[in-house]
Amino acid sequence: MILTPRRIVGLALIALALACAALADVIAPHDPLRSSVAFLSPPSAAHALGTDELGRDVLSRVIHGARTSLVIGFGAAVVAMAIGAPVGLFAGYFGGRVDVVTVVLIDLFVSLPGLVLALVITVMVGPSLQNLALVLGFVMWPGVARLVRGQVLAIREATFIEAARAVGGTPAWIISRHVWPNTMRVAAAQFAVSVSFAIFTSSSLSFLGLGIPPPTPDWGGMVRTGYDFLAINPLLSLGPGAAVTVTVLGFYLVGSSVE
Amino acid sequence: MSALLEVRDLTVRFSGRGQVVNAVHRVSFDLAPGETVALVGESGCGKSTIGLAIMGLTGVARAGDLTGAITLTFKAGKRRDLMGLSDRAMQAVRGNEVAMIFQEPMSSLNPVHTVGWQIREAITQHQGASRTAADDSALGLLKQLGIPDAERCLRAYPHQLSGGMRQRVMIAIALSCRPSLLIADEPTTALDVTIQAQILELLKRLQAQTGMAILFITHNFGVVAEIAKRTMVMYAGQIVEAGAVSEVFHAPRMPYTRALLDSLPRLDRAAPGGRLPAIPGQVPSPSALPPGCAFHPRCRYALPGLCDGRTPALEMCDDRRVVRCLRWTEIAA
Repeated sequence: MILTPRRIVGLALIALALACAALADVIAPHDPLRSSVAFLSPPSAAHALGTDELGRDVLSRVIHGARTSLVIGFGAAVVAMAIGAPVGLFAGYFGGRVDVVTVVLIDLFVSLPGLVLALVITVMVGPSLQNLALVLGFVMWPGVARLVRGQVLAIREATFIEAARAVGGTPAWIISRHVWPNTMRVAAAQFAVSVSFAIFTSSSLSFLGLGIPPPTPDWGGMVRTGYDFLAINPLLSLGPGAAVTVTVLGFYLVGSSVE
Repeated sequence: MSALLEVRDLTVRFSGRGQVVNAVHRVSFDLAPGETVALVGESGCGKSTIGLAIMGLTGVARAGDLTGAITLTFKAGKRRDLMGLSDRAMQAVRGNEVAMIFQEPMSSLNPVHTVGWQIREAITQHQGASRTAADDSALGLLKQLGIPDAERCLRAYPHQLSGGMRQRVMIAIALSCRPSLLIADEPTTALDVTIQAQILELLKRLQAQTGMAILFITHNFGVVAEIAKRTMVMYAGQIVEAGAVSEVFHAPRMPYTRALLDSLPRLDRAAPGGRLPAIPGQVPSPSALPPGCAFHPRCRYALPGLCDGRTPALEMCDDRRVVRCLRWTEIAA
């Protein structure tokens, strides 16, 4: 991968989010779950972003929230990839009726707004870390499938695919060893975009009250709680909001830098 | 001695959007073990389609669009009609019994894998060889092909190799399972002339070593003379003349062959007025062939009332020579 300015910024932002998630216990100044009597205190040396309505340190909660967001983001992207990539490979390679049915199915999914679909399913299955990742992955797989299928359509006409058939390759071998590696570049980009979409959407769901149940620190939920106290300490909302922006932007910059 | 490959009445039609294109029409020929036969013709005459049909790779699925018989004698000795084989059985034939090399060495290799990987995969497809054993035979193959610094070549990606090198790698992949028949579809067309000569020499040497037969598809008569003993000339999906290369070249019977040979630049025969004679007109569209002889609108020997009405059959003119022309006896005289 060539490092363009766009990618350097994106990777730096991702690195920041990953560092927060991995080193949360070390770098967070306080326990994100421990409340104190200092409710809604303004920013100070001890609490850089102040405390929330239960007296918990907001900065520590923002740092720990990176874990929740990244787990959902990556989990959902893995689910989307695991469903979408095989479907796209299969439909694109074999074409014909299988392809037509798949494309109709994909178009059906894509025509529904992702957030609404995720909202409806989350209401049905109930919010939890695991469910959110599964639901968002399920919402995103058609996008992956469509992209992979498009790539496969171009690749399957290449001479090296014909050459692979001419040495007696089975369809499974040709798809896994010759077609898939050639779609991986675009699939990886779509993976990054999926992570950013999943984090953004899960934060939106949390903001609407369908997110991770408390007391787990979660950016979307924190923005929602802080919303009630904007006049007292706007950083309650702005802190986690900025964290969502930075993380989503990082993954999006990297993902969209390919084509 | 029975033939290695017997093609009988092979017909390939591409149909779609209400159009039917007769790419190959009732083509029959034999190939003896260890023999090289050149299939010559203009672009679009169906010569590549014949190669793909033998491999079962025409992509034609509709019943009736692919007819005839392609009988191959397997290495184990049994004879089977390839047209009747299942997809799975055909996969075992490709690479193992019949291998193919293509015109474009640039795009015939997968850009994301190393050369060594691609040769090894071709080997492990058919033989239960271990990875290291396959790597060893890949190295051996490249050495046999006279590739200098074979170890480095195995680790290279296709874009790091020259066109001639890539075609050698393709040949190595094709030969990795020791097929008894190699279909070479214009393997030298994309290469420059010195490399062409090297590849032809290489194919001849490998043929002498392995005893495989080669069906060499080309539009280049110079290459035909270089590599083959026997040739078949195709026009509009049909064989129009076949025989020993020396005879066909020195005494072409079919006006098309004659016109093709006349349109080659030659040192010993300066063209009058300094211009090469060209064949007038265009190759007919295979979906709209003219009535009678397919070549008659472009033929300078064509007789109105004869050539545009009757369809010529392939006639034996002597024991090894066939020609498809209504007037070949008059023209030869």
